[in-house]
Amino acid sequence: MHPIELQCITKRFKAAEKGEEEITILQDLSLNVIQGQSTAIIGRSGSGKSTLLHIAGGLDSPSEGKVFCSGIDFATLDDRKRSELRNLHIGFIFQANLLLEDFTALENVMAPALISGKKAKDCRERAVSLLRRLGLEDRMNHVPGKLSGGEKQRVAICRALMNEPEVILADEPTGALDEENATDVENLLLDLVKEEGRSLLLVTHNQEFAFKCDNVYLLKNRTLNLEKSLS
Amino acid sequence: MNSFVFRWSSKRIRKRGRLTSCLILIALVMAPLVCALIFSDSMMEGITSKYIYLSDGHLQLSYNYGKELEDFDVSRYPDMLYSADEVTTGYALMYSATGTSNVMVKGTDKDYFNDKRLDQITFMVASESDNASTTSNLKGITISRATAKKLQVSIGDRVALMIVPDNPDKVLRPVLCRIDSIFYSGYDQLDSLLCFVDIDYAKTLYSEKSSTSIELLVKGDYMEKLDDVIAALGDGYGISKWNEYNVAVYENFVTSRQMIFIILLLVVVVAAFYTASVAQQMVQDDMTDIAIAKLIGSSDTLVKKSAFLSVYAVTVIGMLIGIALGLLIGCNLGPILTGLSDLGLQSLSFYLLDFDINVPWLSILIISLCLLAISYVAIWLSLAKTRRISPIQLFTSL
Repeated sequence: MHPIELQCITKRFKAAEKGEEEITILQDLSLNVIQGQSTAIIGRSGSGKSTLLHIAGGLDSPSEGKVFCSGIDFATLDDRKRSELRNLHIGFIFQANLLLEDFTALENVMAPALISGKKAKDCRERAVSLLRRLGLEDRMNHVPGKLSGGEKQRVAICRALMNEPEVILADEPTGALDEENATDVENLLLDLVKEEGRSLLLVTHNQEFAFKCDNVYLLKNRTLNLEKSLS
Repeated sequence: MNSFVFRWSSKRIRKRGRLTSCLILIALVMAPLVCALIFSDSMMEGITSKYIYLSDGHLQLSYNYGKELEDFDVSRYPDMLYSADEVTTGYALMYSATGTSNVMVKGTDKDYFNDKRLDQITFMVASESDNASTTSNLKGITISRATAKKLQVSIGDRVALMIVPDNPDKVLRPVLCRIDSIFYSGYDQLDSLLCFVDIDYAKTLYSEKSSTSIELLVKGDYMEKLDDVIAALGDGYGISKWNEYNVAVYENFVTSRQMIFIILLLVVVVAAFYTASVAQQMVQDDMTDIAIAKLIGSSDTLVKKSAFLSVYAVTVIGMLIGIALGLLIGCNLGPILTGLSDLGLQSLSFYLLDFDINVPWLSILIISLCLLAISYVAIWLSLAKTRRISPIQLFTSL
């Protein structure tokens, strides 16, 4: 059983205007995210990388095919169950760090665990330890508006790892950072994922970052082509 | 309660903006409503007291089935009755050199103004020197300040009473009286109708039997159980309650009270629906936060619960602030109204200005529960729309 399993995924978007044909973004595409391994998907802008990640995370539904998360078909779940699955099994990191602006860094990291109903005290301990590991111990009580771009992204990484998910889905996590910060965050993310024994599905156009991963796929012409494999 | 929902809601509440304006609006709606309820209830209670203590008593006993009023023994009902006073009443036209006024002449003995009645009334009496200068054989009369003002007379002046006969055998005739004292109860509308004379003198002016009755004041608990008192008094007398004597006034009070309550309830309904629109607007404003919350695993239900809790908590806080403000103003209505009246707001002089504050807790409770219940339903209904929001729609809109 893989943390994420995509089977024959096709994604079509309805035409914006009447009379125009539907646009197929992904065609009969399959992918397994292997436990404990990092997988990168590279491709040009508009090739459908982010759409594939959204489908893998249950944020979007495929037009055809099935998505399994820890062996459970997303299509069979109602909103509550799907949210629960996302909360406990998947961590997300986006280019725009997407932190809750009114919450402090610590509260942002604690949020997924609080949603899952864990005790605030336990959540705080885990969140503090994650923030310390990423060098943010003196920034814990700052709201995102008071943090730099690199710090925000590190908070987002901590939040993604908070519930000890099986898989981290990252969409251009260093896309908005300068080179120095980007390299820092890349290394931190890969090291943490490895240390914590998580799987990573990374979507990026940064080939250097992508090829640090165990497996690399190129998304081209609506399908995936294997570029690098750990095996 | 999920602690994330609680934290998210409390962050929203602390954030200034739309929720603050909702809180202020609810408080500003509730404060005048509570104030209006206190005002209308206290004034109606006050006016009722004036009618009961100065005009008709709680109950009136009159001749019936041949049972004599003199036989009525108040000491037989020590638990129920506070006082029983024989009164003779009739109507007259009062004249002075400058004006006329219709009055109800009420003949009472000197014990009539007991402590309860004296609580309702203030007397201005002639000084010793005034009495000395006005020695005459004229019968003394007590008129109201309103009547004195209308007739432009004061203590020691003479007025003529054109007695309206209550018996076909008697003829319309004028009698001269001297104003011994002037009273003021705070309710000019009733005051201007009343004048007091000695009961023995009143009996000479009106047919004794049909115009004489006994006014009963009942004790505390029995004020709400007048039918029990009537039953205890037994047959033999004609017994009427104060509100049967003043049907128009009483019905007016009941209708006014109901109408005021309904209008206030409608205002609360409008305010409650406003909270629903605040909730809907808040969801629109918080799309980014909702998207993030859904991304990290929050379900639609949690999102809705959080939005609901924010708006509902603000509604409850606003309501409590409004009630507190309303109580604060309402409990100081007497000085406020008197101040306004002194400032020249003439229309207030027709109202009772001197009344005990009576807080209608039940009405306030009903209105508060209505606000809470309607806003509860309205907010949930408006939040039902969040079900249609999918995270991916939100991300594309970011």
